[in-house]
Amino acid sequence: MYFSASDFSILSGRYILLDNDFLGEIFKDKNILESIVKKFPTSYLTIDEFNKFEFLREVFLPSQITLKEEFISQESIFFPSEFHHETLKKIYTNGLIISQIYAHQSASKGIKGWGTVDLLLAGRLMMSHQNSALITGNRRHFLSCVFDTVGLININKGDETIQVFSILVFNKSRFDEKYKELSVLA
Amino acid sequence: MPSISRSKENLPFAPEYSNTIANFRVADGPSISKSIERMKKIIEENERIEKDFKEKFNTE
Repeated sequence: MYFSASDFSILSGRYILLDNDFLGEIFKDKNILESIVKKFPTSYLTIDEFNKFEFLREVFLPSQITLKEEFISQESIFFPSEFHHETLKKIYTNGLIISQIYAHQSASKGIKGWGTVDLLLAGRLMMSHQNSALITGNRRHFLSCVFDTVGLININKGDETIQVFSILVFNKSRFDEKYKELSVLA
Repeated sequence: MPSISRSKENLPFAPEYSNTIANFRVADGPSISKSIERMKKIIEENERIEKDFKEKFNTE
């Protein structure tokens, strides 16, 4: 497991949301679990409720559900995310705006079909842009028109392949530019 | 509020931000270590369950 970034101090004091793919890696590998906790001692590893849903769904064996529930319930390691009505309204609103920006920015490339959970996660990152970040293996689901990469995590899969996870933060000034561009279309 | 030109008058939606920082309790060293040890055991238990399942049903 290899971390790279120009400066990890930007993540200090931030809530680092774990996308479902990275959470799945932690659940499979003790070394990754220990490394990620030690790497960010001044940050708060956070599991969004929507990621929790993804992590727990479609588990075939009942005994695995129990293990997964206990795994993500370790409050010393994972901080809960805000999940009340007013917060969800903001996340929903932001996610919808981001989907419009994505559609506008990607129209010429013919890219579409971003996942609902990814958009809602993007909406949460936007809402709490000053104190949040995301670790995800799906960089292309969080477009560079509004998200900056501040670090990378490379995981050796043991079969001569390396899986790359990106550490992202919401770029508010670039969002404002793209949002203004949308207004021209109105 | 963000410094953008559009407002709720001419938009279906306007960006929503929050300055709320949840006041979570920060765990101390011993409780983190204890949780990590428990989580490692969960990972091992999950590996065992998956291995048993694959052997029992001959799946990959």
